Amino acid sequence: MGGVRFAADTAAMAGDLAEDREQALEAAARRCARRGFSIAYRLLRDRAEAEDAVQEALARACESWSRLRDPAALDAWFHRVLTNVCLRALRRRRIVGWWRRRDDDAVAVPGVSLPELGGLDAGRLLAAVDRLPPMQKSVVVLRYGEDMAVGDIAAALGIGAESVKTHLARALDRLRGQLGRTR
Amino acid sequence: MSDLERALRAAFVHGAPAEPPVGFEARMARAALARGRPARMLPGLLAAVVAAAAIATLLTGRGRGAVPAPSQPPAAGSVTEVWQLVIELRRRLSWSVPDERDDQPVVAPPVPPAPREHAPSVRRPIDQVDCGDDPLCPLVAPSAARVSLAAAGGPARVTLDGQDAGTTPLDIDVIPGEHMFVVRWDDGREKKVFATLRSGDHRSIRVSRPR
Repeated sequence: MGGVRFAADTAAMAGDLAEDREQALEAAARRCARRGFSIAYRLLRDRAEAEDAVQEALARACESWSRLRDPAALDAWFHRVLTNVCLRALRRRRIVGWWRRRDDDAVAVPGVSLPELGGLDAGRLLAAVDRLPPMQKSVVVLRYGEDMAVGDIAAALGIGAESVKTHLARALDRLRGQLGRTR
Repeated sequence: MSDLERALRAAFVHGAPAEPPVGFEARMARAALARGRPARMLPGLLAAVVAAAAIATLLTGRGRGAVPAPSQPPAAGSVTEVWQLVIELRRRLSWSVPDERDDQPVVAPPVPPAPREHAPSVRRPIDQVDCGDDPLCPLVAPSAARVSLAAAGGPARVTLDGQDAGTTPLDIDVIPGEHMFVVRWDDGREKKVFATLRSGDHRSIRVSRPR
C-alpha cells in the first residue's frame, strides 16, 4: 500500500537526518553561539530575545548546511542568518511601537562617562544607537561593537560595501544630531 | 577616527553583555534542535493526520452512506477540506525555514499564461487529480511548497489565488504549481506576483511597494 510505504521511508530518513542535524547543530553552536549572542544582544538589547535569535539562527543555518558550497564559510553564513533574524525583530518592534526590557543588564550602562564626548554618559549614547533605524543600527553595532570590517558587514547584511558606508555615514550624522555634536 | 566613533567603541565595551555561563553553547544547540524537530516529524505525522481526518469525515459527515467504490476518488468536498486542514496544520506547526537573499528582486510576467490541461506544472484542484485505481491517491498529497513573502513599505494584505492568506511577513504552504499572490498595502497600492513552485520548493519573495 502506498500509504504504508511512504510512512516507513520517511521515518527511516528522519532518523538519519536527526542524528546528522544534532551533530551539525552542536558543531555550529560551539563555533558561533557565543559571538552570535554578543551580536544579537547588542542589536536587541534583551538577553532573552538575543538567545531566541541565536537559537533560530542556528536552526535555520543548519537547515541549509548542505547547500553551503564552502563549509568553512559557516561563520559568515551564520552571521548573515542571525542579522536577518535580528533585523526582522527590530522592524517588528518599530511597527508595533513597543520596547520591551526583561533584564536589568539590558538597561543602558549607568554611571560610565565618555571623555571622548565631553563626559557624556555611555548609556545615553547607547540609547541613541537603539533609536536608529534597524539597518543603521545594525551597521553601527557590527562596526563599533563587534569590530567587523566593512566587507564582513556587507556579507552579514547581504548588501554592498558602498551601502554599508552610506548607512554608517547616515547613522553617525543622526547620532551627532541627537547628541548635539559636530564631530 | 572621530570622537564619536571612539566614544561608540568605548560605549559598546562598557555595554557588553555578561559572559554567558559554561554550557551555553550546548544549551543553544539543544534549543535549536528542538525548534527543528517538529518539521522533521511532519511527513509521517501528516500522513497519519490526513488518513485519520479523511476516515473521520467519511464516517461521521457527508461520507456516511455514500462511501465511493475504491476505483473512484472520495467526495470532492471532503478531500478539499482535508487538504485545507493539512495546510493549516503545517502552517501552525512548522518552523521558519532559511531564506534566500531577502532583497532578491521578483520579476513577474505581465500576463499569466493560460492553464494547460496536461502540463504537470499547472495547479489543478486536488479533487480533480486522476487517481486511477489507487484509493489513497488524493489523501497522500504531494509535498507542499513553501513561500516566505515580505513586503517593503509596511505590512500588506496578501491574497493567494483570490483567497485571503494573511498579512506580511508571512510563511505559507502551497500545493505545487502556478500561483498568483496579490500584495495590497493600506493605501490601496497593490502588486501581483506570479510564482511556479515545485514540490518541496522553499521560495523567499520580497515585494517592493509601487510608487
